[in-house]
Amino acid sequence: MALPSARELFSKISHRMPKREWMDIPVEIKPGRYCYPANPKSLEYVGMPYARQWSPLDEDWKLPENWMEIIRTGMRDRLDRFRTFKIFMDICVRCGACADKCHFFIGTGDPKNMPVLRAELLRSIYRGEFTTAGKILGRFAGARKLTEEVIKEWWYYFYQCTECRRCSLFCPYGIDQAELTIIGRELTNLLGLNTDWIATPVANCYRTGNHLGIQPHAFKEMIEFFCDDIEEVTGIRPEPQFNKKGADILFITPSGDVFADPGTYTCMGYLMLFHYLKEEYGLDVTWSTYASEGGNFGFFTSHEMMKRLNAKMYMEAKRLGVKWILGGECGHMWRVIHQYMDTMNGPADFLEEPVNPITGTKFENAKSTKMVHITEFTADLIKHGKLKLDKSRNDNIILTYHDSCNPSRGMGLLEEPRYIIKHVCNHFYEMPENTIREQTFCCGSGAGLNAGEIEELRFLGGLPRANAVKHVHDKFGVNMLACICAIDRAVFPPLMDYWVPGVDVTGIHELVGNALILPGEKERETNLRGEPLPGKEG
Amino acid sequence: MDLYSLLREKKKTILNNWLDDLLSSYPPESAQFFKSNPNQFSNPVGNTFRLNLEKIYDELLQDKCSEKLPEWLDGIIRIRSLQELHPSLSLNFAFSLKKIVWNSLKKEIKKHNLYEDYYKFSQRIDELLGLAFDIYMQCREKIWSQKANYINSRVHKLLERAGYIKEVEAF
Ligand code: SF4
Ligand code: SF4
Repeated sequence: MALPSARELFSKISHRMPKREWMDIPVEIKPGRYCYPANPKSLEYVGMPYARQWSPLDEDWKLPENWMEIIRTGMRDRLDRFRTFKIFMDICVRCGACADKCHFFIGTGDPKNMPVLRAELLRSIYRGEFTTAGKILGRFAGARKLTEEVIKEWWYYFYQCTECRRCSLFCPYGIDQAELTIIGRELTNLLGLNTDWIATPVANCYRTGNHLGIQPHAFKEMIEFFCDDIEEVTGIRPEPQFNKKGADILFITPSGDVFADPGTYTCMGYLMLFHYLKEEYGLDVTWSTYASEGGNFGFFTSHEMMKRLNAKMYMEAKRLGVKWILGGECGHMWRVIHQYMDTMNGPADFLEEPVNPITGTKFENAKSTKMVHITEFTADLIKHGKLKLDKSRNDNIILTYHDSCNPSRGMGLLEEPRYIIKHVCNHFYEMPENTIREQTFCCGSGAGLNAGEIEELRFLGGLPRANAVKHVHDKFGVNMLACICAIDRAVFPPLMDYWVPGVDVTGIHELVGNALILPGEKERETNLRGEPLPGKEG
Repeated sequence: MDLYSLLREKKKTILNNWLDDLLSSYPPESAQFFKSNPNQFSNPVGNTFRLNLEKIYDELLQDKCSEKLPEWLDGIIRIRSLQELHPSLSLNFAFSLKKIVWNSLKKEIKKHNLYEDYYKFSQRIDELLGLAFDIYMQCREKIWSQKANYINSRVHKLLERAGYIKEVEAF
């Protein structure tokens, strides 16, 4: 899709900024709309400040005494360090083009979920504290005073944004609300205000290597269970390598693929692919039980925490002495790699520029990060005729594809997943144009929002996505939703069950695993889920 | 003159008022968005409300409602039951139809003495309400059963992995 010009964008704006004074509407903290506060132990473990027990429903949030000073200094510091932050504070013309583009606004009808207002929550304080006009004119200049109410409002609404960047696509100035949410969350973190769904995975990841705190032996055991299952279905048992020094490629995927259905089937797909490539072409891939998490909830905490958690990927690649890193189907892991890794922890000069050893393709886009997305890798193999596939094994599936926000909008990965789908699946239907590719609607649960206690909010945020799935379900009989993000795979099954019963969820490499003809395999009766293959139902 | 022909004649006004009444539970800027954006994909809430209210209204004008009626109600309630914390607010739209029909047609009802018809129509709305409550409960139960299943399956998996569970095997 060619991006529309600013003029086109302005001409299409049908929605306006709220006329009422939004500052006069007090924040109302509703159960079902916020995640539980962080376990103080998790915050302490990674050295985050002001760890304490507190409740969002209480009047007193037990803020540190000098909280105002902390926020002022924190903002000043970030205005100096992040040019984007300073610019985004100054340039919004409040045209309203972004106002109705957020899935949370579309679903909840809460005006403070309009991206422009979400930004104003921060901008009004910026004006009041840091601009002369704001200091003198106050409300007339869109400024307001820094109060405890403001902090509560920040916490409530910055954790109702999935940092999906859909709104930024429509802003004539390219203002990126995700960047502002990131800064907003950093500021709340300075006061010890976080959510447990983010803080505890961060602490686990820092200590054990993955969000769930699964220890190395258990990680290995799970993957071996998958190998048992694969053997049952195909008669072939992959022999994955772990922590192998001197392997060619280090493979890292989100731990969700190892521990949560239906991501586990996608994990089996990776294992089968690597086995196939080892047998046919001698490809040498290793898994790591230390870099056992591709996801990075540090990204939802602060730039520093993101950097800390991301570093283990490079450190492990260095320790093992691999040539480059291959990454699995994950969402925000790719945003971190694509947008931040190279400047935060790179350049990784000790790694080689990634080349597919089987096809000779140079992955130019990964020249600097040295990390390749598995759908690029697999699409390249298919394009060069390196995989034997029987797509009829997926004939029971009528598929549609959800562009996960981070790989699609965040890094422009649009064609490769579709290319693979078309080679492993006969029945594929796209959702309506204004809901896919760059304009894709978020699952409603990204950026650390996939907690059980906010299911109502997530289901409303996921409504625009589900509504488009329902359309292709009704029209073409779509029964499967594919995606390339572990959070998607975790949250879509219940979301579909609520809005579009009869639609199941899969990763792309599960489809690949089912279609891939392993050398020497037995005649398969079932797919990886143990369901009969087409024609074998009897 | 009978009530049903009046209800058909004034359909547009009544539907408009009904939608406005439903949207009045939202802040004005959101209500305006829900009402004005006609794209079913970028405005699923507003479009579901508008289209389904009309379908429900048409059903109520039939001699006998078709089996489609629950589906139209479900579309609206599935959304409202997540947006509002209180059942009475979620289902307010079903209550309000009586008031809206009365306000739009009271002159004619009085003039042509159509009270009996109006009473019968009110009864149909009451039936609609009953159905609405059933659907509301289904939606909420779905949410709670999902939460319960999630916890159950997590705990079960952990126990299983830790070797604390041994299922009965066949002899
Ligand atoms: S980044 Fe996404 S979730 Fe956040 S305000 Fe923009 S559209 Fe909404
Ligand atoms: S953020 Fe951009 S699109 Fe939104 S109101 Fe400001 S200038 Fe307009």
